[in-house]
Amino acid sequence: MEEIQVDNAEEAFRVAIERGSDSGCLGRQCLAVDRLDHGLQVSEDCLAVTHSVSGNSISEASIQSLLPLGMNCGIGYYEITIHYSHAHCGIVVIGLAHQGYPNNKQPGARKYSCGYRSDDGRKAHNNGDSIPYSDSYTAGDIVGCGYCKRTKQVWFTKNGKHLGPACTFPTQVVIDHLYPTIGIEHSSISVNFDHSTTAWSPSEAISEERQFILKDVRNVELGAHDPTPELVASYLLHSGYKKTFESFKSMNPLQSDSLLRNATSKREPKGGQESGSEGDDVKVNEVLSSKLKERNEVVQSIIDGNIEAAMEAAEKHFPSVKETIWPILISQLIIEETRKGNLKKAIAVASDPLGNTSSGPHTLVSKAMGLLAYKDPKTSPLSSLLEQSQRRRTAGSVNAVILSDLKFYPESVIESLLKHIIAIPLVAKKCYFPIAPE
Amino acid sequence: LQFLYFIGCPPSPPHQPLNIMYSDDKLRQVTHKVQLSDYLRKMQEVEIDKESMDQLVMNYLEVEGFEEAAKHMREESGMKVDTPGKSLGERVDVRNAIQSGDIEEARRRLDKSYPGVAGDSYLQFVLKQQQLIEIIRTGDSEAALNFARDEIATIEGLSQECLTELESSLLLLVLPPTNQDATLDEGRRLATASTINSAILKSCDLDPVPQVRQYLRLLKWLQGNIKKNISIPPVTDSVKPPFGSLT
Repeated sequence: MEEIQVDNAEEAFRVAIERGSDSGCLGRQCLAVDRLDHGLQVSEDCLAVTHSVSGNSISEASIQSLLPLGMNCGIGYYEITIHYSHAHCGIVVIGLAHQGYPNNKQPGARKYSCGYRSDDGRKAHNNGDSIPYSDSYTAGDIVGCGYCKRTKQVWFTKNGKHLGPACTFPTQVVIDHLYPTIGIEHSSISVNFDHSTTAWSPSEAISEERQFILKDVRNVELGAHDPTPELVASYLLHSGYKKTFESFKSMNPLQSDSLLRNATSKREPKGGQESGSEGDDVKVNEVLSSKLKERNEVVQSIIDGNIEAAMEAAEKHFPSVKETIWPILISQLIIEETRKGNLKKAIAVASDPLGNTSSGPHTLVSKAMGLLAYKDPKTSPLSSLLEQSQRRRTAGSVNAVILSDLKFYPESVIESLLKHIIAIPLVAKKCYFPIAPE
Repeated sequence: LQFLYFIGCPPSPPHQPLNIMYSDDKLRQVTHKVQLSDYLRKMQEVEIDKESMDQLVMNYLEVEGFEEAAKHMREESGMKVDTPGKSLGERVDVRNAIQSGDIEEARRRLDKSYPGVAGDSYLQFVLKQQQLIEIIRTGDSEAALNFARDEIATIEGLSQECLTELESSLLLLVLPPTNQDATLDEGRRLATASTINSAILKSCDLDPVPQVRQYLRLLKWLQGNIKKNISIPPVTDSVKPPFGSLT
């Protein structure tokens, strides 16, 4: 399961739907080598295994993967390719089992496992009894095993063909993680966890499940009060979109100005919630009237690239935050001067002591200085700093600092919302769930 | 805030020693506890681009039909739009009419541009009820009662809920005025306008739900799912950042 990269809100939504709160492990999926039966030999990349014991003695052996079966929208799938299987006593059983399944039993022989046998094409589930399922398979075949979390159903495939549902795990037993488990005797196989190269593609099943999940999400009840107008209003205030906010407010009698205040202000209401609509209006209007205009002055100048004007305005209107925002502004100024080609000026700006913290130049300043090292900054790895998006980022940081100083939350609720949505799958991914016997 | 302690994440998962016999009670559900500070740290590491959020808010304004606000938003946020100045359609005028109290005008426009919506009996009721309240507010109780009798009660197929709502609207005739009336009226107009707006969108085969609301639902869904496996302590206030549980 790879590290999740999320660039924007749409990505965040998609990732959250696919991963949900499926906890699991970060790391490369492969076979586990630390519990090997003596007859098993695993390849170096841990994706192939061979079983051989001298003589024809019947010795059951199985191997599990290192990580739980990876899920996408609640669908997990993997395949194995049979390279060799002894004509008389070669047996391969592909299946799934809980972690720590005994390595001397085939999947399906014990509880909470299932398996599809190569010799007679029968399936086994939870106990040793096997019942007819499908064709047998042998060397040269590619068999796969899939699992759907919603229906708790397991199915198998052979050479790209879906063989039908095989077994269902009982609902009262919740197994958080199923591990690909392969029983192997006198055979040699390799395993494939990469959906893009498997013979049978789970993408259709995944799309189907995605629709179920989306339907689930759409049906979630939001409760009596819909907080969306407040979310939008607080966002507009945070961003300083004055006209938009006023137009929006005129059409939306916000349920309670105190809710809006909560979304923006860290200040505690004086004397309880019912401090009177006057008090609420004053607080929201404060943001509107005096500071919003000044905040916009600073922010707009940064966005236009006119950092010196921004510095002037900031010094005039928000002197208390000068120390904090100066390094940010200086770094942006360096970028602007570099863009114009005034390298001497850029260096002069960089040497402004206000750009330093107690331990040397501020990280943003150093980063901006990095641009100076390149002859043609536009083609350097740091070229993204020259773009408009960097101006907006700087403007956003300065805005946040000012808001914080005014005792408002520096981050709008929408931003928090998105961060939560991104953080939950990330946090879930990082957790590993060993089932420890007592 | 209750939170329990983080059981360390081993770098490589150790498997169980050989030959362990498993029985049902061994396979219990494991709940992994996450410390709030870790979770918040993960949250702060994330950078959300402004364009995304501007886009979400813009989508909300457009879906709900706040055309003027959307226009300002476009300017003030510097968003790149493919078709600048594209009108959101007649439904904006319908909304504006309803929110200024002119229900007759709204109905006229609906009949003209969205006959499907105008024909629906529930929506007819919604509009007429709004009109009734406007009449009540003018103080003319006789006109109000006539209106209720002739226009509303005659709508075919009214459900029991609608009739109950009609009764409570008529109660306004006798209730003493309060100083919250203005806000409540505005709120009611907004609600009516939003209902009609959604209906119009649905009739045009467009998605009536703004994306932001889906994100809210997504968060609640994620939090519900994750409770099984991970206890992230709920941050209780739904509107204060860091935005937390919606329950």
